Amino acid sequence: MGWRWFHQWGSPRWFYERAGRWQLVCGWLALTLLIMGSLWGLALAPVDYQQGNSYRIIYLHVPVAFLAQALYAAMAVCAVVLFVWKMKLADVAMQSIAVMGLAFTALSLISGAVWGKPTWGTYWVWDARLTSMLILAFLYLGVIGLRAAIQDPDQAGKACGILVLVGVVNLPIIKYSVEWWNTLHQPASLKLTEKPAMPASMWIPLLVNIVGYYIAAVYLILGSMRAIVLERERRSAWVRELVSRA
Amino acid sequence: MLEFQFASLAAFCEMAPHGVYVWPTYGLGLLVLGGLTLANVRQHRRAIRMIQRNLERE
Repeated sequence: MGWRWFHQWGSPRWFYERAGRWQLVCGWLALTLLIMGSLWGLALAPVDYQQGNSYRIIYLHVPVAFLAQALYAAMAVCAVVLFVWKMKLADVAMQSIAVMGLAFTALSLISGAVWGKPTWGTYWVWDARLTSMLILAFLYLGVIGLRAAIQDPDQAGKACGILVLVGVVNLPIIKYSVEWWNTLHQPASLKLTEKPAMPASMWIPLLVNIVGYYIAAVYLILGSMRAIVLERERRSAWVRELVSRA
Repeated sequence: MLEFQFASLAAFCEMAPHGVYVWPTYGLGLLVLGGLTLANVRQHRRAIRMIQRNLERE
């Protein structure tokens, strides 16, 4: 097998042209899945016998909390690609993912707090899961702030990459926080290796929304990356030609 | 399995007793996804306009 599939990512132009099409597919797919999953979870999934209707927040909370962590891992992979192959696009991806990651982390913290009020009786506790997620939000903020503080884009990319890689240590802490410490936060609702603890009528819409939010994240990241690619490549011939045609 | 879980549409909107928690959360989710989409579109347009201006100046 050739390495073409990998090397073509080295061309911002190749990416810009393809990503527009991918974005269209992802956007409509995400919209369909999210409408389906959310309505299913809100209206058709059975009510929880302990938590009542407040549990319906999980159809938003669980997918965005997954994403918050997955996006950080994706950002770390980009950092490695940037350092090993010096791929420009990896830095663009890092920049885009940081913003989306922060948004999804904030959404997961807020939706969790709102669910916590009727369920635990409080919006916030300094429990290991909640605190490590808050640290994740600060890491995203740090990466965004660091890039904003450094003028030279190449230097900014390298500095952000180092910070991202150091912050990876937080990911296993988040994942295992509910096992290592006695947390108020419940253990994982869904595991790849085990049968879910809830009936299919509850977890199928959750799965639909998880897939929907992941695709929505891809859609958002591609959109943001395309804009950044244009800005960064503004002096290249293909961008000038593209813009003058527009 | 696919059965509407509420007695009426009004009961669905009220989602007793947790409607005040559930609906604003989904509203915020919609706002975040919509806001990020809009921000992307605007950033893209801004980039094109900036490059156009640079081209005109040359």
